[in-house]
Amino acid sequence: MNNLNQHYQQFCVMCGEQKENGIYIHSGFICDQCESEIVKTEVTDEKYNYIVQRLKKLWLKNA
Amino acid sequence: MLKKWKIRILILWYKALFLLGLKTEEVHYIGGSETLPPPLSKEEEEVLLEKLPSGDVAVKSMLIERNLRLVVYIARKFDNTGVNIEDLVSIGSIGLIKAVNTFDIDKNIKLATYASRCIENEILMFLRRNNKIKTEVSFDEPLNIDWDGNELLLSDILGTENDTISRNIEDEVDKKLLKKALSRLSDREKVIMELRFGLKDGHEKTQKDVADILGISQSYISRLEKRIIRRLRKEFNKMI
Repeated sequence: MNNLNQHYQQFCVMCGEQKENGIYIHSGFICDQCESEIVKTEVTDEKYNYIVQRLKKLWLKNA
Repeated sequence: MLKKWKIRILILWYKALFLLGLKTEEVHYIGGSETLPPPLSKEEEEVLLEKLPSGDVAVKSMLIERNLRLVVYIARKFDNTGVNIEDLVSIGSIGLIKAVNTFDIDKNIKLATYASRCIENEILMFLRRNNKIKTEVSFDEPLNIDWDGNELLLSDILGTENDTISRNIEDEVDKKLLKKALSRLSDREKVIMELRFGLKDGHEKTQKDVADILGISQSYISRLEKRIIRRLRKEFNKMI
């Protein structure tokens, strides 16, 4: 069963890098590091807008 | 019971898709004809929440994905705020990811309830921040642009000239130096300067007026004035 958790490397919609571990949402992949970055980022942080724009990739092909 | 088995099989199916790298092939548009995955039933949610603490990515992915309708539903409530729906859904998704990551199964609350609060809170916080930014005006805010493309900045109107403060100080210093230099002149020379440049009463007199007051010719006053100014200049140079 544990072997099933190991999957092919995917391109993260956030950092654009090829990573092995992460979550799949709708049509995109978010790596572990970016996921924890999302969780700890507040709306007042400078990178918040960047995250909002990158997450659009989950929905829109050309975002 | 059947539903619980169904969701367990679905978890395995998700894992198989991840393994094959097939999960990310599909792309949907928020307002598109394709529908989002249906929300989880109570039994399905129970099974997934039991497995959530284990850090299973398929479980986490399913919990997020199957609550995306909630994100779109809440985002649409804020459609009239001037922020476009794609941004709102994106912000809502951040709220949902935070919700799944911080959800405590021991608190005896439905994930959908907790996630709704997180999603709404995330959007509200964003709108509040946006409103705050809107009321703040930068000194470098361009108010207008002329035909040559030069920007008129707010600071151009509100700011002061660079030397407004220093100019007054310099004037004060010059006055002190002049007073000191004048003290080195003879009484008649001092009177000529005071009358000509209004140093006492602020009223400047012509060379003819000064000549009449002192009973000497205007040409002599003119010569004396030039000589006095030369002397004063020398005195100034010594002092600076």
